[in-house]
Amino acid sequence: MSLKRKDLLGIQDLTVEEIQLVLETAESFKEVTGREIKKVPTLRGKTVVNLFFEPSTRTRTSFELAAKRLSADVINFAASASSVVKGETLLDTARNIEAMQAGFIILRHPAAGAPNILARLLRASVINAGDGGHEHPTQALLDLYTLREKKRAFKGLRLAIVGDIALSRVARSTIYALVKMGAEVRVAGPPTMMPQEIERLGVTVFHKLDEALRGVDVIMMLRLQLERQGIALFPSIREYSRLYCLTPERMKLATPDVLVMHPGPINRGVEIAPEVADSVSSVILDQVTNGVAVRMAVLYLLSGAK
Amino acid sequence: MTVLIRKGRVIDPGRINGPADVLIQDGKIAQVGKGLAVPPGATVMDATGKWVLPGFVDLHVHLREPGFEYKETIRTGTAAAVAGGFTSVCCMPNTSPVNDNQSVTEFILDKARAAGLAHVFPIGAITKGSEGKELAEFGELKDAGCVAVSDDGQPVMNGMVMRRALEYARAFNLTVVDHCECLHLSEGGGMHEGLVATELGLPGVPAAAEDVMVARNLVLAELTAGGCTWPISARPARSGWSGRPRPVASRSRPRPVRITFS
Repeated sequence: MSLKRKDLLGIQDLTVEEIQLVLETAESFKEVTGREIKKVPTLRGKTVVNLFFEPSTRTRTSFELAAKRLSADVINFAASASSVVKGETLLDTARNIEAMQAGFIILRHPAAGAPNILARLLRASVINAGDGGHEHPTQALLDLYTLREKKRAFKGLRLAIVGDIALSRVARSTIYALVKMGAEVRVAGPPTMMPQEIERLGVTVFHKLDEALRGVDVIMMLRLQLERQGIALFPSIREYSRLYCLTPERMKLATPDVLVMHPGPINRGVEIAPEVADSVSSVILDQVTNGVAVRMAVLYLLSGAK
Repeated sequence: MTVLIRKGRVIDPGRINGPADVLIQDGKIAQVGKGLAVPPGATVMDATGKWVLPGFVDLHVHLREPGFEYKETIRTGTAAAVAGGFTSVCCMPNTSPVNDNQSVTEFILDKARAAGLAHVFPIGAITKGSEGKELAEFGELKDAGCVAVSDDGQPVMNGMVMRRALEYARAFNLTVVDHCECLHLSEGGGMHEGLVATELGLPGVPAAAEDVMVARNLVLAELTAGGCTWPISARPARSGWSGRPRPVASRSRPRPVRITFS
């Protein structure tokens, strides 16, 4: 079994069958990650390069672990300690890495569309680990995997995504994924954080958090990206937190067995109350655990395509 | 020297569009008509199946010299112009240094003369260094050969500076050409705002970034009765900002036309 594509650039162009294939494959890899010796020889002799132009803890570590558990050789590349600071272009950097026979390039880049350009010009498989405000496909896949584990059916599942939808690549990938799988997706946040015509992606827009949370099965809180604010999209963190922080009181509006997700890193007390982040409803750390299995599945399924 | 161009399709809007001959004597068009007689000693060119057109004028080019010769020079730029049928070009002032004084204007004209290709009509800067703060010396620019002023690539963001530019330009009958883009509204933007930008996760630039500057410039043009050019796409202009005719011309800004949903 394999994905009939060289690269994983986004969820938007994946079919429901492809998404299901990744989720099913991830299940068998999750079993591997539960073993005492968490390693299989699947990608032995292959080279995986983590090419990260933005800071990352979770995603980079997760890809590195996934590749190592598949027995691949892994190179971590941080833009700040490379020839990028000498003015080398993204494409030249990537071509040099490819010339060293890397089979996979995992790219995180601040510019939307950067992985699409590399994918078109390189023979190596390119996996998008987050491009600007565009997509973060493996995050959406691990979210789906976590939901499937806890909720089983996607059809009819009610999910609210809360926060800066305009800047969030996680929101986009999750919207594309869940709408495809038949879930009901709501997005909530101040109008300044809603991109134009977002409802045409198949979601319902809410500006009042309480209304958005009523009767939902899943709440996905997005991190308030304090480092990306230019002219402020909201007057103060105090006001944002008062209007959009997920508190224990607000949790009561959702279904009793609601799940709380967050792509991390969390700002405790800003978008999510500490007692909610640490509650039994929270699957934030399950998301992280599942991330490794899902990324193993993606690497494996793409390696078969060549 | 006498040249007769025969049997081409002659197009001169408002006058002729059809098969005709063109007679050129001493560098000037002497006669246009069907079946012209061949004067003694004339060079005859057969233009059967071809179009014969007036030389085009490009009001907005970048010759990049001085300062960016690795991109383009006055020689290469004017060679490209004549290759495409453009016999006159107006070159924008965003060179390095900016064309905000007579030395730069004269340098451009000298180089253009030496190249001997298209006619070059320099456009000077509205503000010193195109920084949008202090007016450039319009009088000196005009005397040196500038035909208009513009801070092309940069809008004049400060309304008072724009007002003064429009007023002062009247004294020299200079056309003021503004790059209509509110930099606050377009900041960080990569493409036209809307569904496609939302899907691609690219920060959008709203049409309002252009419209508000067009609207401001129209109001200032009315206030100063000066000349101001504005983009054709602008809604305030279409919806008739006011009933009074104004000495304004139009052009479209390239980016919103090039990078839209289509």
